Formats: sequence, C-alpha cells, structure tokens
Amino acid sequence: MSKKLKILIADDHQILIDGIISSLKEIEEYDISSTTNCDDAFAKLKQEPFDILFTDLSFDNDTVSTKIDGGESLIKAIQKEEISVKIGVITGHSEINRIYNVIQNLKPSAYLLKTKCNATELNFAIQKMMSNDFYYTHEVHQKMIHRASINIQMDEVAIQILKELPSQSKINNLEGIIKKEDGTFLKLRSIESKLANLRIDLNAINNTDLILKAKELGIID
Amino acid sequence: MKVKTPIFIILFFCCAIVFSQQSTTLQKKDSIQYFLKNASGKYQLRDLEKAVDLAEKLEIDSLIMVANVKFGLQSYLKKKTYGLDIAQQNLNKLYLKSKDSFALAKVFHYKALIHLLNFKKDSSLYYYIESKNISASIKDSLEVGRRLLSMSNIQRDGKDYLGSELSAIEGLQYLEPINDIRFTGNLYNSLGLSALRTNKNKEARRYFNSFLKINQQNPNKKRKYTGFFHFYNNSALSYIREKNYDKGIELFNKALKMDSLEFKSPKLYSLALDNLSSAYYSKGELTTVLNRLKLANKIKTRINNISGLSTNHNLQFSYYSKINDSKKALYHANKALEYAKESNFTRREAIILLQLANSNLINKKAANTYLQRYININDSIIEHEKTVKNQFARIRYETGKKEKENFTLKVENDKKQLEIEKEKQQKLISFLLAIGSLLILGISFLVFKNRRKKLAFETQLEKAEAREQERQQIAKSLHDEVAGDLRMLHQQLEKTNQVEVAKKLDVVKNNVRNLSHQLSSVRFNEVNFKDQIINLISDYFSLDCKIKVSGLNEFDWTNIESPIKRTLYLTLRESLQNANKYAKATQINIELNQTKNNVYLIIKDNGVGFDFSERANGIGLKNQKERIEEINGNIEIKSSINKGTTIKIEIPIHV
Repeated sequence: MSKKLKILIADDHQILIDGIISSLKEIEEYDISSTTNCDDAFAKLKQEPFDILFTDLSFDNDTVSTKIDGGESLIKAIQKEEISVKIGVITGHSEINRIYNVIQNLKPSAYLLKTKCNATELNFAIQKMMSNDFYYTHEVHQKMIHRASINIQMDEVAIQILKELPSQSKINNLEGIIKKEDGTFLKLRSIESKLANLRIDLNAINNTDLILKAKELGIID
Repeated sequence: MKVKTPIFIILFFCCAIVFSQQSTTLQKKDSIQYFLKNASGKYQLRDLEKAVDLAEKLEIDSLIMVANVKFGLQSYLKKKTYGLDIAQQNLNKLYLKSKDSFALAKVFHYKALIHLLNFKKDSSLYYYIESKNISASIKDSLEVGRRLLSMSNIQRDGKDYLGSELSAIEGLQYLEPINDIRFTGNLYNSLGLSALRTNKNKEARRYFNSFLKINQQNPNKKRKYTGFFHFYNNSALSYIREKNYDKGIELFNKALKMDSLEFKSPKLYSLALDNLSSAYYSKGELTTVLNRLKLANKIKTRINNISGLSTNHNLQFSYYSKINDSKKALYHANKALEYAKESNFTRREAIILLQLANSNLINKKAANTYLQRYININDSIIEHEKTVKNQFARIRYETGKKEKENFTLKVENDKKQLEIEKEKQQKLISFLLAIGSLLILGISFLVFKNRRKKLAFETQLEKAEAREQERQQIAKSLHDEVAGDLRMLHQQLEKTNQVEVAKKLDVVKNNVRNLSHQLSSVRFNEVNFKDQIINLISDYFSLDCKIKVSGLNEFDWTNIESPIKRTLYLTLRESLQNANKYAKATQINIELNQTKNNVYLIIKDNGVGFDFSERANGIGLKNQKERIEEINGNIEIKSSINKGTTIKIEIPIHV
C-alpha cells in the first residue's frame, strides 16, 4: 500500500485503545490516532481526513459538559455533516436491541465486539471496510440472523412461501397458492419482493440457499 | 293396493266435500245475482226476498246491501210496507255491523217511505230529512238530491209551497254540480208545480221549460217519454189557470197525440182525457165532453185507478148538472164521493160536497146536510193541513236551527281545534326546545367532562414522561458519576495493590451499572415499537424457550403514545426475564391487542410459577406495576406453582 491508512480510535478506556493499536501493528503499518471522548473525536474528524473511525458506543467518562454523549450520537453527527469516513463499531454491547438499533439506523461498516476481537479479525474487518463491504463479527451476525428468523416466523406469508418454494419448479407457480391474511392470493410481484427481502434477512445467496438457511434456523421443518 | 284404496276414497270424499262447499257458495252468489237482475213481474218481490235471505246467509256485506236496497225500493213501488220494513231492519243491522253511513241513510229513507205509504206525511218528512243529512255527511250528493225531491213533493202535497220550493232549490244545489239529469228535471218540475199551485203561472211555465230542456237529454227513453207528457199536461194546466183555454186545449191534445200513449200509459192517457174534458167544460164547449169522459172512465175502471175515477165522476157530475140531468148528476156525484172516500181523497170529497150543496138539483134540506158535511170535512182538512204545515214549518225550523247550531258549533269547534292545534304546536316547540337545550347541556357537559378527562390523561402521560426523564437522569448520574467515582477508587486501589478490596469494589461498580441499565429504558423515536419487541424476543428466544407472538403485525403502533409503548416494552422485558431466568419456561405466548380505547398485553408461560406475594425478586414487576398505574393502566398476575404464570395488562389509549 502506497499510502498509510489513517485510523482514528475513540474509546473511553485507554487500555482498550492501547490494545487495538498493538493488535493493528502486528499486521501492518497504520497511521493511528486516538481519543477518549466524543467531542474530541468529532473535532479531529472535522480537522483532518481519516479513512477509518473505530468507536465505542457508551463513553463512561462523558460529563454534563460534553456535547456528544456517546457513539451513536457521534456517528449521527458525522453522517449529518457528511464527513467522508468509514465507521466501525467496537463495543462491549452485545444485546440484540443495541446491535439492531445501531445497524438499522446508523449502518456502520463494521460491528466488532471487544471481548472477541483479535488482530486477525480487526485486520479482516479493515480490509472489508476499505473495499466498501460490511463486516459484522460472528456473534453479531448470528444475532441478527436469529432476530430475522424470529421476525419471519411471525410472518405467515413468509412461512407459506418458504414451505411452498421447495415443491415448486418455478416461482411463477407460487402465484395462486400463497394467500394473504384476508384470504386473497398474493401477486407474483409481491411474492418476488418478499423472497428478495427474505434472502437479505437470512443472508442467502439464492432461493436454494434461502431454504437451506431457513431449515438450519428451524423456521421450516 | 288394499291399503291405498280406502285412502283414495277418503281423499275423494274430502275433495268432494270441499268442492261442493265452494260450489254451493258460488251457486248462492250466482243465484243472488240472478234474482237481483231478473226479478220482475208477478214474483219480483218473492225473488228479491229470496235474494235478501241468501245474502244474509252468505254474510257478504255488499250483497246484503244491494239486495235489501232493491227489495225495499220494489216493495215501496208495490206499496208493501212489510217488505220495506224487512229491508229497513236488515239495513239497520248492516249499519250496526259495518258502520256504513250509506246503509243508515237508506234505513231512514225506507222509514220515510213506510210513513208515506201510511199517509203520515209529517213523520215521513222527518225521516227524509234525517236520511238527507246523513247522505250529506258522506257527500252522497245524488242521494241528497233524491231525498230533497221527495221532500219537495210531500211538502207541496201538504200545501207547504214555500217549503217545497226551498227543498227543490236545495236539491238543485246538490244535483246540478254532479250533472244528474233525471232528478234535476224532476226538481224543476216540482218547482213548476209549486208555482202553479200558488198561481204564479208564468214562473211555473219557466220551470216547466227548464224541465223540458233537461228531459230532452234524458237517456232513459221511457222516462223521457213520460217527461214530455208531464211537460204538456202541466204547461196546459198553467194556461187553463190563466183561462187561456185554447192554448191549454192545444197542449192537452199534443199530450194525447203522443205516440201510442193510450197503450203505453193508459193512466196518463185517461188523465189527459179528463183534463181536456175539463178544459172544454170550462170553456163552455160541451159537445165533446161526455164522450171523452166516458172513454176516460172506461180506461180508469180497467186499470182500477180509484182516485182518478173519483175525479172523472166528479167531472161527469158537473157535466150532467150543467145540462140539468139531475138523476145522472146525482148518480155520478155519489159515485165520485164513494171513490174519493175509498182513495182517501178528502179534498175531492170536499169539492163534491160543496158542489152538491150549491147545486139546484136537490131540495134545501138535502143541500144543508151536504153543506154541513162539507163544512165538517173542510174544517178537518184545513185543520189537518194547518197541523201538517205547522209541523213542516217546525221541522224545517228545527233542522234549520240545528244546522245553524251545528254551523256555529262547527265554527267554534274549528276555532277550538285551531287553538288546540296552536297550543299543541307551541307545546311541541317548547318541548323540542327543552329537549334541544337539554341535549346541548348534556353534550357540552360530556364535552367538558371529556376534555377534563383528556387533559387529566395528558397530564398523567406528561407526568409519566417526566418521571421517565427523572429515572433516566438518575440512571445517567449513577452511571456517570457514581460508577465513574467507583472506577477511580478502583484504579487507585489497584495501584496500592489492595486487590481484594478492589475486587469487591468492582462488584459494587457492576451492581451500580446494572441498576443504571435497569432504570434506563428505550426510546421509540429511533427504532419502531415492532422492531424493539422483535429485538426483545430474539434476546430470549431459543430452542429451549420458544416464544410465540400474535398481534404485533396486525396493529398499527405508530400512533400509540411513547409512555404506553415503553411500559408495554419494559413489562414484557421483565416478564420474559422472569419466565426465562426463574420460571424456566419452555414456551411463552405473547398476545398483543388493540381496541378503540385500550391496548392489551397478555403473557403466558408454562414455567414453574411462583407465589407473587412471597416473591423477593418481584421488585422488577413491582416497578412495572407502578409504571402501569401511572398511566391509568391495570395489571393482573395469576400464578401458581407448576401451573405457569399469566400476566394481563390493560392500558387506556385515549381518555
């Protein structure tokens, strides 16, 4: 790489910052800066361009005086100012509520968990981020899929489609089989868009993969 | 077949009976119609009476009416009071049953006819008036006109000429608007006759001419024919009274020359013969008189016209007196008296007696006896006529008074009715106003109450929100300040190698952080309620603990107030935590529901259950209970050992 990647790390615990820096240095040379509060991180990002920002979600050392009161607010502020930087979350929060809310609303390029994070993963994440891809650590990924499967299980139409799909040679055949709640048949276009959403939710490559994953998750038998 | 045959036979008999019953009814109906249509001649009354009997048996009101009316009328024409009485009684029964005023009018009509046949003219007139009034009340103009015609005739006979005229004129007022021909003509004739009797001969002829005009339109040929005769005869009489004998004779001759009058109506023919003879006699041309009188006498004897015979013999008596044939004159005088008596023709009797008394055919003694007889009869006639006239006048006066009274009463009634109506309207208006104001009052009260309730509700929500913020504040300060201070202490202790104490302090620090997390809750402005609930469920869902949710997708949650959603969320979180951690449930059912006014959350698990009152860890749920009650909600927890737990929450959405 001709140019060193500029990375900013924002975390309230200096120990963690040190840990990340040492991990990154094991693999490659990066230009790394760090800060322990959000206001400062935001100021730094506005001053000079960074390629990547790794931030925590909750900052224990925030006081009443700090304007930006946590990772979510920091990401929002960056997105609002349209500052060009890839954002990764490194946090201890593994509750699905937090994960889902952050991914759904802020769409960070990466979501890593402090406890599981090592040099290899960190580096892999950076690679992904820099190629405009997303990387969610395994646990987060699992939780998202788990959540999606639960969501699907509450959706009668989705269950119908997943159950009927393996026995039909063509998607067209599904029209006239899948019924809505009120008893009327679903149009082909609706079925196709529903399938597309299901593939995204369950991270499936194609319909066959979708059925396999649905079976794996126990959504269908 | 053996079984079937008797059934068929029974069926056949049943049908036969039913049909025969039907057919007898039809037969009866038909025979009534037959009798009514074809009854004529000798057996007419008998046939009509049969029709009446059959109609009574069938109990068909319309048939009873028709049959009795016809029977009564024919009875009158045949001068049978018996038949009239039956018809009258039957019609009275019909009236009492059906309250048909037409029947009642006929009852009075026939009563009048009965009295007429019994020569009780005053009673007859009374019933005519009653009948007329009833017909007038049901606006039966034809019947009213007919009754007035009869009244007019009776009154004229009773020498109440003014009354007769008045009745006739009243009759015209009823009949002319409905374009009746027959009775309108007769009324004009009656008017003419009244004028004739009071020597208003020109006026009489004017009326007769009106009668003639109308008579020409008469569609009934027979009536038209006799109408012409009466016109000639009556007009002739008017000329005779003016001593214009030639004109009178001319008209009588016209009457006599009417197409085959002698055969069509011998009675009228003989009457005209008598009248013509009388005219010649009065003129002083005696040559043709006797032949005509004899011819008339022959005819009248043949048709048994007794009163006519009395007049004829009277004329012959006059004739023979004139030519001084005293024997024949006295013979005819006696004959005339005999017939006059027989036919109740008192006036004729008086005329003959006076003529006898004044004649020079008999001695003075005999003449005196006749004169005495004349005086007696004349007195009784005058007396009778006076009473009848007076009675007519009284009846007329009373009916007039009654009508006047009725009119004033009607006017007063109308006034009162109007007042009552007005009062009613006013009452209604005030009643409506009262209702309206009550409604407005009620509505405004409800609106006011509602607003107050809404305001109270809103303040409650605001309060809940404020409390929430307070909690958040506490959570934040616990997290930031207390935990921050503890961390600093922890670092210092670590530095001074007091690891044991540091470890303990770490536990305290974690507790504080947990407490802080518990206090802090969720915001619904970033992630919607539905997603939050799914997040929550996915936290607790596993193969060992299956969670089923219903009602989440079915309802729209965006418009539900945040405090309500937060409470639902937190209660669900607490319940799931309990079911998962303590109750070790393997199946949890969550049911969300919305109605117009409330949201519901029901959480059922199959865990070990607990005794809510004894439970130390109930602190979480107690917190939730507080939150629910803050926003007017209601929580109900049912749990018993090994039977799982059911939690029901109800929170009002609106006021």
